[in-house]
Amino acid sequence: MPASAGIGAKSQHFEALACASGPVKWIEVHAENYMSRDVKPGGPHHSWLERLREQYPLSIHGVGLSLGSPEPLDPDHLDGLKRLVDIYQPALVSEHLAWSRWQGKFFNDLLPIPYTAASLENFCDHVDQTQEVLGRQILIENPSAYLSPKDTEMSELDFLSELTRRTGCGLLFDVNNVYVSAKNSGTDAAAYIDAVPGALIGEVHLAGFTRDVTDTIEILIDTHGALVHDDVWQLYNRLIERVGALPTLIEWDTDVPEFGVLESEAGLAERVLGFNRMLGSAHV
Amino acid sequence: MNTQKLAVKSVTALSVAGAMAAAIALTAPTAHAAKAGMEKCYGVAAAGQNDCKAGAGTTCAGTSTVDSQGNAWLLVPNGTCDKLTGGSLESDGS
Amino acid sequence: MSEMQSWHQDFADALVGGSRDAPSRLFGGTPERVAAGWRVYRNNVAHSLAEVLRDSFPTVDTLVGSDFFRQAAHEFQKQAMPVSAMVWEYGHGFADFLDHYSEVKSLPWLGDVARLEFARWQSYHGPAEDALTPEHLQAIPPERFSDARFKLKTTLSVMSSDYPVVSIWMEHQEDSPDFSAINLDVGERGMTYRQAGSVYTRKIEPSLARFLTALQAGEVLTCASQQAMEVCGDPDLGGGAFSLVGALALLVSSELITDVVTDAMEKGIGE
Repeated sequence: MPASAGIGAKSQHFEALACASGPVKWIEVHAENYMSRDVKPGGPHHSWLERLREQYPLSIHGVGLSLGSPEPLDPDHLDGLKRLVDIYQPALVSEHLAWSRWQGKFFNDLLPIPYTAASLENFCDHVDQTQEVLGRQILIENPSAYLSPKDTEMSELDFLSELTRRTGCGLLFDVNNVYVSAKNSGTDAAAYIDAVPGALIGEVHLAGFTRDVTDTIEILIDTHGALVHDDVWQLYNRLIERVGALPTLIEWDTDVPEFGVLESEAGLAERVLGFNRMLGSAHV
Repeated sequence: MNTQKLAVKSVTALSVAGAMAAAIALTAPTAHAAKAGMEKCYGVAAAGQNDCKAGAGTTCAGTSTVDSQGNAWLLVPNGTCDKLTGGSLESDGS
Repeated sequence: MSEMQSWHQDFADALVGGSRDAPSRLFGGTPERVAAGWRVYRNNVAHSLAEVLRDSFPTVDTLVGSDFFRQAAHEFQKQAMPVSAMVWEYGHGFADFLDHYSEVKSLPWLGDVARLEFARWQSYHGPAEDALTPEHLQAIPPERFSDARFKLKTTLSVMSSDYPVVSIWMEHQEDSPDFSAINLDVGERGMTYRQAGSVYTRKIEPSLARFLTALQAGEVLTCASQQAMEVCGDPDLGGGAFSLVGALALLVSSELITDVVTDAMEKGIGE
């Protein structure tokens, strides 16, 4: 995957993507929107993805494997994901440090887990299994948190570092999620940004959040429905300055704007990346 | 070939065979035109066709739209259904 | 159940349970802060699932209005959570739910509109299937067709309703629906299929609907056309006209035939 800017490919932008020649250099799709029970999946979504795949490097981003659930992974889901990965041979495959399924119910949200020795072991087992089935490395994304589970024994970064060490997986580092979680839990986003080992990061996510205030309590919600916030751009700049250029995705999932808005966000990321690529080569 | 069997339903069999031949002859050019590719889904939509839009997709984002999940209120349908003749909006009072 | 499992169990129960109270024992922070954070998770689930249904059933949404739709979606959610992360499948039971939802008793056709919309969705997401070309079909000796069975694409579906659901649906594909010509007492049949990356729905004659369902059920061509003729002859079955050439031309031009199997061949031509 090139260390340049990409966007999440939404179906309303398929045609624009096919004709674009701007700052968008790669695309990401959600695995579940293309997964099928059929051996030979078909339909417009797939026709488009086949076509865009020829034009752009592809990242497949899973949102529903529920690696954090303390129960066996859904075998159908894993099969579907494998079929998809086999068909499209993406440059990157990723999932979340979260859970979304329990006892046959799918909640369609990325829910938090306590960071404990037991949950780490469970999570590592599931990542091992996934990587084994897919026959490749996956990246795991840090989530946006709205609450802190009581029994947590370690920091999120310690959990993730140990996860990468034990399983060989990489990180999908979401700078907006770091900011949202830090604001919501009263911790230091910059410290997290400065501590994350750059070598572990295979991809960066950027997105916009929404501020929600109820009864004087402020919560930031990771809505993927707004421009990337200035504070998040600053954190991103800080990260890239330290660790160098990385593939960076602009995510926009709700109230999806015109393609041009996404191109302009990708252009902003590309400026940061280009500047640091230049610096990087100047240092050599 | 079983000629007796053929004789019994010859009329239908012949008409089916003829119909198929006619149908193929009639549609051969259309079938080729239909392969024009998916650009056509962004062209003028044929009657009864409205795909090529997002549809139910996943998101890995949260939402700020507050969705009341309670039953503090009970609404009645208030969309285009009241324009349908005979589409009564009378509540059953429950 | 391990400590970790019971943590998830408590979380899941509270997430979609009747009480909106946060399970404070699971999280750190002041009660107010926990309540506020918990609202986000609970809302994410309820709202995202309602939106999944809204995206799957845009016409039902327009018919009943956004607020009512949300209420119906929440009622549905109490009965059925998704079982799969492929959320486009979540609407599977929504039409049946609407059939029995007392708040739409006055709209008895609503369930069938949802059924049509879900059929379109299934067609959209269905498997890739190769149709026989006219050249393939031309290569088959014509006399074989009388005994032939057609295999049709699985993305084809035929529906029959006591209400004019295809017309209701079609009017909503225009900018400003005009319902003046729709008589709610007249039933309709519709076919939905996918061709070259687009999903089409059209209103069809009862005889053609019968013809297609007979073929789908594996009847030989002669028998299927006889069934269609019977519908024409019987006003109770729908009456109307049936053109075998027209019906076959539709199947060929819409690229719906994936195989032709005759008893003599047993194995299909397309295999």
